[in-house]
Amino acid sequence: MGEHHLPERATAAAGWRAIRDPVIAILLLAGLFDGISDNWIHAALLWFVAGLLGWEALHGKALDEPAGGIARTGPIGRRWAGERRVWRLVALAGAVAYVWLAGSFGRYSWPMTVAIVVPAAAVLAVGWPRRGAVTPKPTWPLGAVAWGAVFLSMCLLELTSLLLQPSFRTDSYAHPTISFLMDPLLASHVGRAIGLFAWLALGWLLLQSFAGPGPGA
Amino acid sequence: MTPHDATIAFYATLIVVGLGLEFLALRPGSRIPTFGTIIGRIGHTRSGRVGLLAGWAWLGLHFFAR
Repeated sequence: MGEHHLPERATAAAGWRAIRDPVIAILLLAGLFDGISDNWIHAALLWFVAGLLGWEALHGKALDEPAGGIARTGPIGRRWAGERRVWRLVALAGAVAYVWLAGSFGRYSWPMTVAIVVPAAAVLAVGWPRRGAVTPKPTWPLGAVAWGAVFLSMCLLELTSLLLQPSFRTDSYAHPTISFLMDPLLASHVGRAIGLFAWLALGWLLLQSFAGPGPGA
Repeated sequence: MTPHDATIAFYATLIVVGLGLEFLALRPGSRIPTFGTIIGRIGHTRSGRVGLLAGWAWLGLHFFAR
């Protein structure tokens, strides 16, 4: 009789793990505020990812399991290891050319959307968690609290500015959000190119921070 | 000081504090982790990595895409 309750208990435990996971809560909340600011498509992306993680948790996948490392060099990288510096320069030149071309497109246009979605999909594909070498679980250093305080303060300031706007869909000069402050910077071709480059560089830095022994190590 | 100026000042202060933390973290023997260490720690878990990647992709969409 008690054995019938085991799957229910496992599901309940998985559900509880999903609820406890701060990433899901953050994604749901961010999606909510983005949605009521009339960015429903972007909100849907955040909710989709939150739902995906919740679905994985409900199907027994541990959300706090190691995400695995990304191999720093693949077969091609090993083949051309001697020319790594040259390839980095080529990649940098390619990135500059890409952001300059993409920066010529208007914000929120379809060409610009494609120019964002293509590298985003590439970074997601490379960086997505996979089974790899089990690395020791790192600890949270005490000094991480300082970074947490800065991040939380930034979020609270952004939220305060958003709530003090005339409405979620109307910007306020008196209470500017980060998006509102970025508008004049991203209004020009050069500004958009610099913004795109910064975004791509952040994606590259993310992948670098995920680097490890790689699958099968 | 207008509310606009105060908001800008708060944002600027937080950016300066962040840069200061990174500077302190880079000193030998520092107990403060670098920003990269924090990102690496968050990205160590499955949900953390997915959250970071989703957040980064969302940034690009939010500022540029339809």
